[in-house]
Amino acid sequence: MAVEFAMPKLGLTMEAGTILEWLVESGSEVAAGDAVLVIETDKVESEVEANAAGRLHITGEKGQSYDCGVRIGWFLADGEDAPSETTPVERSGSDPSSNSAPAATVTRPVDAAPTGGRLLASPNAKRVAAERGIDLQGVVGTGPGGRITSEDVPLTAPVAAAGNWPATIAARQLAELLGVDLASVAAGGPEGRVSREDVARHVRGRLAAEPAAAASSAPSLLPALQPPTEVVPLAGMRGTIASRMHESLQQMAQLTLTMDAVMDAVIADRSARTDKPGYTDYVIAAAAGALRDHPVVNSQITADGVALLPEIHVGMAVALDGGLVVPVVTNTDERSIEEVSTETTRLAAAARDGKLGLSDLEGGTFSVTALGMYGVDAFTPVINPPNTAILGVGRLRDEVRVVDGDVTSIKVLTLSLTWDHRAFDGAPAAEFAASVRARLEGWGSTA
Amino acid sequence: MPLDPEIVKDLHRRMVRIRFFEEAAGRLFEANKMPGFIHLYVGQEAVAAGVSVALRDEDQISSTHRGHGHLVAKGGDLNKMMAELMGKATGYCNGKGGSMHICDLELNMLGANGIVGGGVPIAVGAGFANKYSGNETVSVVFFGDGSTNIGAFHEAANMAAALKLPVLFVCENNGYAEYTPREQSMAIKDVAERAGAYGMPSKIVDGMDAMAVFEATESALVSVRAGEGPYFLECKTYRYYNHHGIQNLGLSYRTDEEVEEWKGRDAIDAIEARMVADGVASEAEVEANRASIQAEVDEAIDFADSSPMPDPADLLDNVYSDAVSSDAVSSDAVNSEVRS
Amino acid sequence: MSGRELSYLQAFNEAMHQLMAEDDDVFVAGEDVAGKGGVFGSFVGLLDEFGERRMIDTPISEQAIVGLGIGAAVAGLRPVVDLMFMDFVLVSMDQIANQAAKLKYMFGGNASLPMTITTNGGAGLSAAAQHSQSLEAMLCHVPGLKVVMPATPYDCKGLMAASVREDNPVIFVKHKRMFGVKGEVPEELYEVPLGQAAITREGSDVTVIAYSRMASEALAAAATLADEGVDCEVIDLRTVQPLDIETIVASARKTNRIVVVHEAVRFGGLGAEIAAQIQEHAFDHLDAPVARVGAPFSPIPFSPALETAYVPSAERIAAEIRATMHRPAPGVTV
Repeated sequence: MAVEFAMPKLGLTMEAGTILEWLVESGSEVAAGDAVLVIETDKVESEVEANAAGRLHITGEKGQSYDCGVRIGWFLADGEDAPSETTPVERSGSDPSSNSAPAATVTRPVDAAPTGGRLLASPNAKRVAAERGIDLQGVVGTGPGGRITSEDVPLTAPVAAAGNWPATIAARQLAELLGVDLASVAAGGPEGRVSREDVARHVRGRLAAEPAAAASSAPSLLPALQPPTEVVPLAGMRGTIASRMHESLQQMAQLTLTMDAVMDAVIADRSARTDKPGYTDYVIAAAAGALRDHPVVNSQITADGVALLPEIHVGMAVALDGGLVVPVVTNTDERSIEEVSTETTRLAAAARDGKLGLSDLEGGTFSVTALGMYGVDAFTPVINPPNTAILGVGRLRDEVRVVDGDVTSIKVLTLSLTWDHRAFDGAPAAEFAASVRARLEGWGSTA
Repeated sequence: MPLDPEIVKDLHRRMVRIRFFEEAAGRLFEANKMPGFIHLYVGQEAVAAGVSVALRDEDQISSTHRGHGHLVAKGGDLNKMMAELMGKATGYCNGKGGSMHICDLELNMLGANGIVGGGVPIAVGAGFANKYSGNETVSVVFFGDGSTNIGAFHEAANMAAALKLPVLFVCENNGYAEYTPREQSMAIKDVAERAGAYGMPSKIVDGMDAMAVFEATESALVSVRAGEGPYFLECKTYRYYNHHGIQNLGLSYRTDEEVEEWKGRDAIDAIEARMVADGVASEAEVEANRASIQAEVDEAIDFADSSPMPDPADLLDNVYSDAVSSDAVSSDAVNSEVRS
Repeated sequence: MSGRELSYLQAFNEAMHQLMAEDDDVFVAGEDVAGKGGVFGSFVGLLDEFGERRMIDTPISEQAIVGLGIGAAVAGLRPVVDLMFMDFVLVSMDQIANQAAKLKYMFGGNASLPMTITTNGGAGLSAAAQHSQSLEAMLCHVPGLKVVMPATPYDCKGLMAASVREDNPVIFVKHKRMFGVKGEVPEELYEVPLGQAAITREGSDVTVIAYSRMASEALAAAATLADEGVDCEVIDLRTVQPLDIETIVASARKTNRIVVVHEAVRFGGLGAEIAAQIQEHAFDHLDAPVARVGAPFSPIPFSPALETAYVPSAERIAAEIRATMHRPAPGVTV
């Protein structure tokens, strides 16, 4: 079918162009995009590309000026002759009904196809072209402003396979509303299509599988601000930590105080030993002793109230790749510093080797967690439920103090005590912390 | 005239049930366990109790934004009420309505209403249905003094009177429209004066006296049931707490003395004193009743606390009686096209 | 078919007679509905047949009229309440939008509201700005309401039957200029289901979507365009809430060009919603922007000269179709 080749409008103000030279001879086969002639406008010279494929039949004469949109040639199919000057143009894909209409009343205006800037094509034309692998650059638009409509797209190529996800639009809307990935929903509808009911069933099932999450009516999460480089699933140890820590902060009235302890006595004790305990071991031992004197801190909130627990088992946080565990030093208050140290060494090694037994992880009544090795002085540890307190251990650091007019250097460590205000108040919390401090500062004299 | 001891006990039981439920609800609100608004009925118990004891089970009531007391007095299920206030799936409205939209059609409680005066025309419609059906059922509508300043009230009152519908209008005049005193929002002292304009008989009663409210309701119902048209009862009462919630957050729209004066006339204290004095119940029996009601309220809190939240997948249920939505396409025809 | 013809108004009236005869729970309340039979004669003869118990003249109190319907419906009846003009919907909007629409949802599904509000909308009678409006977009914006706007005598009867038997609040809007329009109407009572549009003319080039009186104007425009070689599909929505988006989208995918027509003001009208949903569900099938024909952004004028210019017509629809098809008007050469 003959496709018209018109003088293109190459700029906003271009009204006409003069043919300087045809780059191909009339009768040559050209592809869309091939440079076929050079024109001159009031401003510049420019090469013009073929906007369709076929055998180029030239009608525009060299040296002549043509208004934009005026035909200067034809693209012909195999064996086709150029239409005579009086024959109406038939464009591919045009509406058959327009041909049966009275010729006097209907003439489709043919606007010049845009050859610069954005390609004007209707969404339907783009879809039809994409399905058939057709490049719209070569298609002449007949819509307003030269917009290519689906009728302008030659319907010769077959349709490629459809790629739409089989789901009803209602299902898509509900899935979007609830943030459900349709790919994860089992289809129950006809022809394996996911229906709205399928999405609802999927969500119910998911909620039933996560009763805790459903009950807490967790706020919906925002999508990632950027495409993440990696997503660590909130599952396994990470998931347990996430839910326990979140639950801890949601359900308790937590607050933190800090208190400095002078560690000179501990350092003196430690330097006198061959198997040197860690500073955290001293804090664990001191805390266990203090817990004995402050039973309200060794407690748990139950349905009946604040339950004071007779046995003291201090947990110690051990960082692992991708998480942490809190093995327990049982009956901590009955152990000497050597025994505490031996046990924490065993537990830390077992934790790293993944060899902790269930009994190593159960029954903690209080926890100690250290970030001092990372240069942290004070922080706000989060209580390990169902405990009512946790003690953070900071960095061992030098401080200068003025004692009797003399400047002395001392070693100091900050304790960060987080407690559940539901269980006890600030004064007993401070008293407990002071008790730990006193044990550290007076190490060896009383303990 | 001495009242039937059983009626006195019933009045007492219903008032205490309201008081304890509301006190608990208020505390839970302050503990941040109740989302949204909460308009407490404490102080006005004598009105709901006095009216409802005089009603038959089939009589309908329509309520207001301060509506918990009316449903409790009509026999509402405290578990479902408390659960609804907490937005739980087990609530009266499955968590879709909340404090201001509780209804129990089985108890002929046609619903609380979040729009001041909005329930009055609906109650008149229920009254119409009663007349249409030719039964002796009465539609009772509770509303505050403030809602008589709304057009819907006047349209409905006029229509009820013009069509002679079996409707009992119960105005709970607690002296304040939210925080604005009555004298600033109307130039008359007694709201009952408005009934006369529609040719409706009316009576003013002490809304802090449950027995007086009961007796006035009983006598009003005689003429309403007899088909003589609507009746207007104005109950002078008082709201102990604020328009919303419990605490007075530095509000100065009324004085502590005024609040204390009204509390001195507390309807529950008064009826308990009279029960003991008249030998209707011993102090121990009164105390036992209170304890059993408190246990019922505590159970309601436990029930609500342990109930699940509604399922977001049910969000769109009951917009219509059928599953229609203009914001979704579901036909097979269209969707098979989507795929092709 | 019998070929029996009734007018739009007679079809409505016959539906009312038959619906009241089949169900004693159905009654009518409104201004001048009983003694006068409705100001336009919609309810003529019902008082004689069913008596004062079931035909109730009310005070001029639109809030109380709708409230009466709500309360009676909640108490178990199946009311038909009449608002003389659609403009008066605004007078009773609290009862319609805050009460009727929401009761079922707010009460967790425990109430049903089988109430039909009948009213008369539309311009063209020089009734001016407060008695001519098409306010359906406002009503459609409120979840819980159904809004029905018949365009033929057949649909007027069948949709009224479906509305009265419906358990949700329905606003049934007759068009004042359609009352005398005649068409085939079966004698027996039948339902035209709510929420189903009708394809009143099949075509392949462009779809014209309309309802109420504009559905017949759209058909007239389609006939004109057929002479010009444009094959129009015409959809009569019949119910605008719920909206039959399925039929709309299927047609958009078929013809690739859409013109939406309503008598209501264009800005914020249903055409905007329909256009939005088409681009959501059929974007890749569009060959032209979705066009809208509606009233200009002004109150409805009184003078016939002004009103004629204001209300959309078959000619304006035809012009919009040509623009969408990128065709010149007849006689214009390019």
